[in-house]
Amino acid sequence: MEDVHTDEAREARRLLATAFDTLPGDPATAGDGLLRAVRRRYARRRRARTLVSASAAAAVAAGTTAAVLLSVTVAGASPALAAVTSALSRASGASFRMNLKVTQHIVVPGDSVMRPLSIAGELDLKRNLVEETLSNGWQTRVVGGKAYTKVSPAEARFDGARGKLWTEETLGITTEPPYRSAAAQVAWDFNSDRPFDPQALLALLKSSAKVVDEGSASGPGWTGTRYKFSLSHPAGTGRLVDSITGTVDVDSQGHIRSMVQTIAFAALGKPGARAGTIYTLDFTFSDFGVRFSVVPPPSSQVDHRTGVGVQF
Amino acid sequence: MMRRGAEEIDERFTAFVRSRGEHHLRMATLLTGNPDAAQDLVQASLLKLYRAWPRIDTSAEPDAYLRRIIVNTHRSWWRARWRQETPVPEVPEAAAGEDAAERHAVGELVRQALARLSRQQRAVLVLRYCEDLPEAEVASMLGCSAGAVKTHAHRGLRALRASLGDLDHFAVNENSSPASG
Repeated sequence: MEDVHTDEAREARRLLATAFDTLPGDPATAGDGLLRAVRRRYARRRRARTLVSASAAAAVAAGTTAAVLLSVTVAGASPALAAVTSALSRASGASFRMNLKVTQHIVVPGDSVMRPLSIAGELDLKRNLVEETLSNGWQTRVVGGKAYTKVSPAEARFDGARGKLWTEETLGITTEPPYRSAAAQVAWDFNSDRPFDPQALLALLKSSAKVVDEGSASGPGWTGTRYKFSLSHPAGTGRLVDSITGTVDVDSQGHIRSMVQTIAFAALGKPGARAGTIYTLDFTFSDFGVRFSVVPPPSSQVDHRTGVGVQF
Repeated sequence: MMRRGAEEIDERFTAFVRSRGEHHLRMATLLTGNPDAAQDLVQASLLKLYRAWPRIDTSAEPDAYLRRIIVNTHRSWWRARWRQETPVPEVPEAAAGEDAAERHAVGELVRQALARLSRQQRAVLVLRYCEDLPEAEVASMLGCSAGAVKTHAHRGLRALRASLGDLDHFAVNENSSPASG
């Protein structure tokens, strides 16, 4: 038995060593290149924190969060872009209920539509309170500066969470997204355990998307305007995203009421190729200003060990 | 005094990244199965290490700290809502022919096979046999028992073998080993 394990270990070491040693080296991404990238990230985080603090202080002083954000974000923009960014900015500082249905359509290879994932949630992004329930049994809660995610028992075992169904992450630290651009965040973030955040789409629309007025729109208890946006081969996605397109309905009060985002990924493993997988994200928003509370899950059910050893 | 302290930290951190950055980048590439994701992972982890550097004793084991941050960060990123794959770049096929080229081809095949394993199996194989960590330490990092590490290692290697098929005709250097820590 011991010999078998020794042989097995020797074989594993040999294979892993080959995989390790033969990785192509790139001076641009190792050593000094890596150092430069880390410094850029460090500087970017400091800048972002300063901007957020300054905006928040100005908003408190003026008592009009949305107006301040709007004046910062849409100077010189088209009326359509201004309306959409204003609505997204308002959502960033508001409470509301949200329903989201995500559909995956695999075009290449084959042609199939996967069972959709539905998410129902209450969000108060100003107070950093979120509760989302997913159709696959997952739940997300954000409260007290922590994000809690409940997974299925099978997932909990898979992730080595010691049988505890909830995990805990400190907001803004362990959940820092690994994205290179707003487009990448929009394209991939919906498939993470992070709750809905309009900031990435806001940044993407402001930086590079075309937004046009599509005419009137309406829903239960509201009337407004539909806007359409589109973006081809967005930067910072490694040419893996073919396009990001969508519509945003804004009511006459300036609230976002529904939004459909279509994200077309290039065919699997073929950067720059035509779309192979298309995700459709269908959002509806309601009950702006709703008050609700979120409580952390019972401590005994939470796997607290994320970051064990060194706390960051 | 504060200024000088910050400069010293910068110098030590810089020296560490220059000497060990590539090693951790390679390890992260095997861990994630994707060079781009590995870059993001190592950059984010180094940023966390840099922020913690004044508070921790890095004179002894900065590698161990960084390794643990990489594994934990990777774990938190992996908590995706779906296990469905999102598109990632296709790794170009390596040329075959000479010994060195053949070895690169084998390395490429092993990396592709690793990428097809479960995250836990891949993490165990990389930490146990590439980073050469004891079973107990791997178990501690991944939050599972030493027995589970054994099981993941055994099953991971079996899956790797099945995926690789017969590699006997390749000239793999038996004496090669990852850069030591």
